[in-house]
Amino acid sequence: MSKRLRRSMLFVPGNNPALIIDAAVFSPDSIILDLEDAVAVDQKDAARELVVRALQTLDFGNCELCVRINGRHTPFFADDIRALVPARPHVLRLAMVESPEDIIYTDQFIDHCEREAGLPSGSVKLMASIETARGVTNAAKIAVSSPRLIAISFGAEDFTHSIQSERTAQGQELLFARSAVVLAARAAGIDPIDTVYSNIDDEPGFRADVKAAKQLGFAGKSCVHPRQVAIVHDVYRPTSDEVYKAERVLAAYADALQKGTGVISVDGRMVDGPIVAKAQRIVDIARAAGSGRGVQV
Amino acid sequence: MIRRYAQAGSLESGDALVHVALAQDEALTIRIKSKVAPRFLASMQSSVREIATELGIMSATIEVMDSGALDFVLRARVTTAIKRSMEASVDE
Amino acid sequence: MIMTTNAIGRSVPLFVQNLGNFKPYAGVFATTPTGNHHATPIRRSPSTGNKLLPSIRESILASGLKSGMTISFHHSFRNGDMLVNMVVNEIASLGIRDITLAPSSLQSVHSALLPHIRSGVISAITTSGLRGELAEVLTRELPLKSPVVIRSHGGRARAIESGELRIDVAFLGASAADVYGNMNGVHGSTAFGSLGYAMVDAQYANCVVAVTDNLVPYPAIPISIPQTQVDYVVRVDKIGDPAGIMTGATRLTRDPLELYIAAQATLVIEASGYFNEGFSFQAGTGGASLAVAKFLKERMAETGLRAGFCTGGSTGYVCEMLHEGYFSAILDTQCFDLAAVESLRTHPRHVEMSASFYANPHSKACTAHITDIMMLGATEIDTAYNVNVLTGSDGIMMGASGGHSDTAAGTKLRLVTAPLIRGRFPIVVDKVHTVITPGECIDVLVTERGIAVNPLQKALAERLKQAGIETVTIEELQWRAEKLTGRPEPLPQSEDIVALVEYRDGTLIDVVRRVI
Repeated sequence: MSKRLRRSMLFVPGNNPALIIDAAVFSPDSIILDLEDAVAVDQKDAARELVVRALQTLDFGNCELCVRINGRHTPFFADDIRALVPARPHVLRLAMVESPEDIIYTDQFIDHCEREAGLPSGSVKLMASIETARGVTNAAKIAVSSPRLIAISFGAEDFTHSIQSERTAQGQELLFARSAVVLAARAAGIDPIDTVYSNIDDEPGFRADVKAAKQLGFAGKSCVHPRQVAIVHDVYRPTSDEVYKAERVLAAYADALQKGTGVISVDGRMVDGPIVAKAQRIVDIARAAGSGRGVQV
Repeated sequence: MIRRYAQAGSLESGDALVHVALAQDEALTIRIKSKVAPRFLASMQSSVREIATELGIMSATIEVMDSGALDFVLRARVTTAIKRSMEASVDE
Repeated sequence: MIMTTNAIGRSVPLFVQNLGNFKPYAGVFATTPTGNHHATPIRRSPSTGNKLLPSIRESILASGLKSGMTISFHHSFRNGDMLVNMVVNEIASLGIRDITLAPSSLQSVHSALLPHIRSGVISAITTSGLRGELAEVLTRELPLKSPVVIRSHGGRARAIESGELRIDVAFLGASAADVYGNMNGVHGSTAFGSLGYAMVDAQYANCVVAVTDNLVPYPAIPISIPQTQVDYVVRVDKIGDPAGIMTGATRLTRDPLELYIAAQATLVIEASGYFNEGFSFQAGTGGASLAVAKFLKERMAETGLRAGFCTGGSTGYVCEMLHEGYFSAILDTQCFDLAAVESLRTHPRHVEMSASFYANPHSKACTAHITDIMMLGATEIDTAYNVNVLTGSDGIMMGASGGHSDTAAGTKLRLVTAPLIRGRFPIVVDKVHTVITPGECIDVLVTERGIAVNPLQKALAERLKQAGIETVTIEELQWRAEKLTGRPEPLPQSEDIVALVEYRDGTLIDVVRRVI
C-alpha cells in the first residue's frame, strides 16, 4: 500500500493567475496556493476568489492541492475556510501554529463548514506550520491534536526571529527545532516538511540543504520556485542499488505471504515489518520519480 | 447594488483589471478592451454579464482591461470588483 | 483572382496583377530546376582613382536607378538598421517612384517607410518577414500595387540566382569596407558578423553599392564580399545603431516554463536515434530552443559524445560550445550577439556562409539538407502539423518565413518547441491562418503540457515509447489547450490577399488575408 509522497511542496502566490495556471506543469507532489504571506492585505478577497475558482476549474493532475490560509487571529481566517471548504482542496495549511488549541479550533471550524457544504467529515485535511519557539516546544502535542493533520512543516525565518538569533549557512540555530519537528511528526505517523530556501539562484546551496533535510528525516521540502522541484526529486530519488535491494525485499515478502512462512530472510538478514515498509517506500518514490534521469529545470 | 467605484485584478499577463462603477442610466454597460479581442469578445461579455446577474446587479458600468485572462480568472476578478463596489464605504 | 487548391489544401492564386503567374505548391521536392543562373553586366575595373562616391544620393544617380526598378538590402543590422530608410528617403527626394523593395527581411524600424509606401515611391515589397507597425498596416490595408511576396531565406537566394527576382541595385551595408569595395561585418563599431544574407545580392545584382561608416585601409580583411562584385562605395556617418543591432551576449532564458519545455525536448532528442557522435545541429535563438543547446552540452559532457557542425545563426552560447570542442565547426549566416561576432572574427572553424550555401534548394548543395537535428518555433501549428511563423493568432504579420521551411525540408529531426497556450490562444488549431512549413516536414511538437509525434514518423514514435517518453496525439494537445482557454471565435478576415507565401521552390504554399 503506498502513501502519498510529499517530497516537494511548491508555493504559488494566490493572487497570480499565470503562476497558478502553470504550477502543475512542474509536477510538484503538492501545490500550496498561498493566501497568506504572498498576498497583500488589501487583496485577500481577490486572491481568495481566484483560488476558489482555480480549484473548481483547473486540472492539477496528480498534485496534492493545499491552500495556505490566513492565521487564526487575522480577520481573514473564517472567510478563507468558509469559501475554500466547498471548493474541496485536499489540505488547508495553517501558519504560525503554536499550540494544539490552534489546530482543534480550526478542525472544528472546518467540520462546521464541511457539514454546511454537505461534505463527509474529514474531507479536508490540515497541515500545521510551526514557526516559533513556542510552536517547537509544543510540536509533539500539535502533531497528535487532530486526525485531520497529515503533515507539519517547519518555518526557519520566523523561528530564528522568535529565538532572537540569526540564520547562518550551517544552520546550527535550527538543528534542535528541525529535529523536534521531525520527531513529533514521525512519532505521530505524519509527514515532516522542511523550511523554504529563498536563494533560488544558489542551486548547490539548495541541493546541500535538501540533502541535510533528508538526512534529518524530513519527508520533503517547501519550494518557492519551480526549478527547485526537480532538484528535490533528484535528491530524494533512491539509487538503482537501493531500488534493486528494495524490490528483492518486496519479492521475498510476497513470496513468504503466499507460502505462509513466518520468518523472511533476504541475503541472510532478517526482514521484518519496518524493513518491508521502507522497501515499499523506496519502490514508490522510484516509480514516482519516473524514468532514470532527472529533468532539471 | 453598487454603492461605489471599485476595481480588482491587474494588467499583468494572464490577468484582467476590472473597474465597476455606478451607472449613469439604469442599464448594465459592459466595455471590454482586450488583446485577444475579437476572438474571445463574445465569451468575455457573456461571462461578465453572467457574474453580474448572479450577484443581482442590474445596473452598473463594468470596464474590463484584459491581458489574456482565462475565463475563471475573468470571472474571479469581476466577482471581486462587484463585491467591493457593493461594500459600504468607510465613512458610511 | 483565379484560385486553385495546392497539395496541402490551401487556396492560392494562379495569376496576380503586377506580379504574374504562379504555380501552386506540389510537394517538398516537387520542382526540378532548369536553366542557368542570372548573368550580370560586365564592368571595367577603374584604372584611376577608386569607387568612392560622396553620398548615397550620388550612388543612386550613378547606379542608374529609375522608377519601376528593384532595390535590395540585407537584414543583418536587424532593428538597428538605418540604411534602408536612408536610401529610400533619398530615392523619394530624387522623384523616383514605383520601386520594388526586396530586402532579405524587414524590421519594425522600417515602419518609417510607410509614408513612402502610401505615396507610391515603393509600390511592391518582397521580404522574408515584417514586423511592427509596418506589418500591421500591410496586414490591414492594401497600400501597395500588389500583395507582399514572402520568401524563405533559401527561396530568396534561389529566386535571385535564377533571375526570377532581378535586383537592379543592391545597397549593402558593411561595418568595414575599403575604397575598392571589399567588405565585411566583423570589424568596426557597427559590427554585426556574418554577411551571409548579402552575398547572393552582391553576386547577382546588376549594380552593387557598398555603404559603410568605417572606411579601412585597402584591403579590408576579411574579404566577405569581394571588390569584384562591387560597383560603388559610399561612406556615411552611421550605418546602424549598435543597440538595435545586437546585445553583448544572448542570455539563456530563466523562464521556468521555457526551461521545462527545453528539458522535455532534450529527452526527445536523446531518444530519437539522431543523438550520435558527430551529429549536426541548428539551435534556435531564443526561449526554449537555445536552452536545448545547453542541456545537450551537459549530456555530451557526461557521456563524452561530441557533435559535428552547428548551422544557421550563431549566438555566444553555441560559439562557446565550438571553442570548448563540443561542435566541430559553425557555418554561419547570421550572428545574433557580439560574442558571436567576436568568434567569427577570431576562430578558424567559425565560418561565414551565404544564404544560398545555407538553404537554396536549387544550389548544388545546401546545409539545410545535411543537418541532423533542428529546433523550430511556431506561432500556430495545426492538426496536420502545418506550421505558421509569419502571423500571430490575431492574423497580423509579426514574424518571418526565414529558414524555417528550408531547414524543415531537409533536416532529419525537426522539433517544434512552443508553449501550448500564448496569451489565451491555443497554439494548436484546426487550420493555421498561414502555412509557412508543410506538416510532412515537422516531426515532433514539444509543449509544457505534452508531446505529440507526427503520425508519419512511426519509427520515431516507437523509439520515444521505448525510452518511456509519453506522447499524445496533436488533437489531444488541442483539446488540453481548449479546455483551459475555451475555443476562440474565427478571426474576422476579408477575402483580400495582402501577402503571398512562396515555398522555397517558388510555388505558392499559402496566402495572408487582410484582417478586418
